[in-house]
Amino acid sequence: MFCPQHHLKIEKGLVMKQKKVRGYQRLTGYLFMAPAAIMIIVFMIVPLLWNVALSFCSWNGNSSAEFVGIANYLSVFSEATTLVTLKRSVILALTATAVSMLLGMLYAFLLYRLREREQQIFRFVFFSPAMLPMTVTGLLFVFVLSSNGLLNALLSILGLESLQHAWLADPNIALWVLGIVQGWKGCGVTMMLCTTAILALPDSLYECARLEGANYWQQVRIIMLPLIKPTLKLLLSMTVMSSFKSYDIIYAMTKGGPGEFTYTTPMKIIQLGFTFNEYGTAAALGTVLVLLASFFVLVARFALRGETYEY
Amino acid sequence: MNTKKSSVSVWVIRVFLIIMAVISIFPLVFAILTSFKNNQEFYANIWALPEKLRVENYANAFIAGKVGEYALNSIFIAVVSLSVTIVFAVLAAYALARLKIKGAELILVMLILIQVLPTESLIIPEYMIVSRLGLLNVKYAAMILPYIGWMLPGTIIILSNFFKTIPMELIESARIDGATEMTTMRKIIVPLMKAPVATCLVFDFCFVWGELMWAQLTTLSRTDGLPLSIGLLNFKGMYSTEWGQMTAAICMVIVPMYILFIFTQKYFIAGLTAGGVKG
Repeated sequence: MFCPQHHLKIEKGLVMKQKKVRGYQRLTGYLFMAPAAIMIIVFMIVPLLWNVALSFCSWNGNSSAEFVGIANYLSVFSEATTLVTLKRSVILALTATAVSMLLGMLYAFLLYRLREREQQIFRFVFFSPAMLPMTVTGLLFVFVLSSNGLLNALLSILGLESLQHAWLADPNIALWVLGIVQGWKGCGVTMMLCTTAILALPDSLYECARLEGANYWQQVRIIMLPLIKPTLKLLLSMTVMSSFKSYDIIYAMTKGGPGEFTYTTPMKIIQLGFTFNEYGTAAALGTVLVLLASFFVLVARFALRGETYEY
Repeated sequence: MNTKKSSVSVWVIRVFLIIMAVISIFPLVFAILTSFKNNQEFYANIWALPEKLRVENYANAFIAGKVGEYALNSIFIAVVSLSVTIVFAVLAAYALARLKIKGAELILVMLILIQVLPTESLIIPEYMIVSRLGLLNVKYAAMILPYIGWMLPGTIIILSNFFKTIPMELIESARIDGATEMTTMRKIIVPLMKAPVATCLVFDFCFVWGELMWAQLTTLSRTDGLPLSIGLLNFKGMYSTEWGQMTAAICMVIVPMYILFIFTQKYFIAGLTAGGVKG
């Protein structure tokens, strides 16, 4: 027999029970999150905020910090030796990004034409540099690019002595060479994520284009590129950001030389902080680097703006 | 392409890719060859095969060059920091994806933002924190703890994307059967997550194995506990480089990594694909 009151009671009880369960779940959730949260807060969030605070202070590491307003930022922008490191960082990052994106996309699109088995082998070969430590890649390329290294030896065999360079010791090209090496190391990730995005596209999309007689290049340009744009946007942002982290490659390959021609901002931050004890200025420079990198990320995202397509 | 006909254009592509692959592998092959030479041989003819297998390069690099010691340090740092990171990240990611945390989406977005920031922007205060906590005097600790903090955001993002693909019904049914959250994790979730965990392990391992800037800062005043990334650079002299030993050291670092990568590749690529990376 249907008894509304009774029914209501049961429902109320159920709701109460559900609420209790949900509360219990939530509690477990917070408990599960706690260890990770503590680590992230102590070792990432606190230092990030502290860095911003420190960038407005003058501090030599011993005495108490003193609030100086934007003086540190002014000194970053008025000091020519600091400003030029920013310029070098930008050159390095943009070269690395361009190489990594173009080469990675090229690999992804070309590989797609081959058989599955071949794809796997090539993917492994092209992706593996991305896995190597930057120091190892750096040393490997010191070996390739040093004046009596592999590349110059290869050029002399091909009879192209005129193209031989002291690749890492020539102030005019060293920075670009470093950018290319960094891009070459990064292109594997671009290739991998592009491939993933391409594989997710349904085959039926190409049928029509093929019936219309479009060749592969046209299919890439008209169908694939617009459809994987979200992935490209993400990749471009990631690559630009990570290309500004240039300490490891510079230190492993040139230590900033020849002279100071490859001395980039991350190196300068360490120098300001740990050699000159100007922690405030170093912190300000760190913040400027992040803002600069973010600016280029925004530019990249703007360049790839426009509608995204559903498929 | 689903029409895999061997047309001319496919052959052009194949040849081009083979050339690029050779270029990519060439330095490595050459490093292996050089690792068996001494400097005279190297300068006499860079292309020649080694006169004999000078295994002493490896022995020297391993013992005199202390690659063995550095490698042990690196392995210790990697094992500890990776295991802690994975356990913490699995718990947190499961909570964020499946335990109805308030503002879970917001937390994930914040994690992505923190993740992309260059380490350079927090390195100065990070150093102060580590030094105030007294970690600089403890072997390895000044590296391990910050590494864990830095790796967690990315690892949590990848894993929580994966947890979202596990159907809620599967978890609910375990709960109805009276399983606690811990049991659900152990019996249902953990067996399913080989591929995403392998992905995270490989990414995180590469980071820890190669990190240089922080390792250098925290070991400035130490002579023990140095990781491989620092140790390797000792082989590159300011004016002269012992190429044989340097390439031998490089090989000792790379070869285990390639082996690891070959074995995890299957999971790893599956993990990347399933992770559903979307902009």
